[in-house]
Amino acid sequence: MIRLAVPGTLLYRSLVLRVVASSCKLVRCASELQEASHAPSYSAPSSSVLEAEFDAQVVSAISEAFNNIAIHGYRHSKGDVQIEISPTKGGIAVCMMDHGVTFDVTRATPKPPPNEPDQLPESGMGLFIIQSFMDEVFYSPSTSPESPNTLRLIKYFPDSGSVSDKSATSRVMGYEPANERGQERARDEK
Amino acid sequence: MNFTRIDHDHQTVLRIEGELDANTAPELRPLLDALVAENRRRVTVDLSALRLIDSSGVGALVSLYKRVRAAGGAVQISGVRDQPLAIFKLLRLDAVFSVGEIPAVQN
Repeated sequence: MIRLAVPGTLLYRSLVLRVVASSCKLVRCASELQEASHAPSYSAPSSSVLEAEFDAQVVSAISEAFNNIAIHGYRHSKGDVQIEISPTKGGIAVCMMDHGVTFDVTRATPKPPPNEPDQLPESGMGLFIIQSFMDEVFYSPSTSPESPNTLRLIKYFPDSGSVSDKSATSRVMGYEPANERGQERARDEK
Repeated sequence: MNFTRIDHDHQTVLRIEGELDANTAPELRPLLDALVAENRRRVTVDLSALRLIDSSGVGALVSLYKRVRAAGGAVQISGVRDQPLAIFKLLRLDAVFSVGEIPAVQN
């Protein structure tokens, strides 16, 4: 697991995204090594185009999520953002935790962009980008001053066989109770 | 982020390098406002050296597009690649802006 804690301000955006981009490559290499160890004849299908696209999509999603925390979550206070990046079966999981204002998921209605150019929005596309580019999105709001808001994003590698429906409209941002999150993290780390 | 502006007759080429995001987009706003205020009719935004864009950066470009168009002009965006291209495709901006090769400034 790769752990990073930075102040929740936009000044640290660039650093966070560089770590995320590098982590994508590391997690992918680790995944390919694991596959090869289980099946000596395994030959990872390599496509630099697919890999670059995967990394770009993960970076884009984390970029928007970090913006939301820095701009909205910490609009009235200061605090850190803790980021944990780890492999998950067939993909990569990124957890982002903060102690800022809890996001109101009931107001999250990401909409696909309009077809008419004059109707293009000038803001508010962040959630749509997150849910379009990541395969699973879970948000656990803070339940006490000690527990953070936690956003967990998962993206599966193209060749993993675990790719879920890519439609943003069919993928609902889910709530993940804290105890289930802890159990799943324990399973991933084994 | 760095940006440069080259004017030639009625054409303006705006080259943006580095990262256009929530952090840097505010730095670009005054120049975009100037392009609109000066009624520049043909604006080409060269993103061939842009490494990263987010929804804030997209918003700045969309704002420019709408305002120039409202004044009877046109905005083209060229040289989009890598992560910015992934964003453009998702938001269907590649069709709106006629994303393509960097055009030569016409004499």
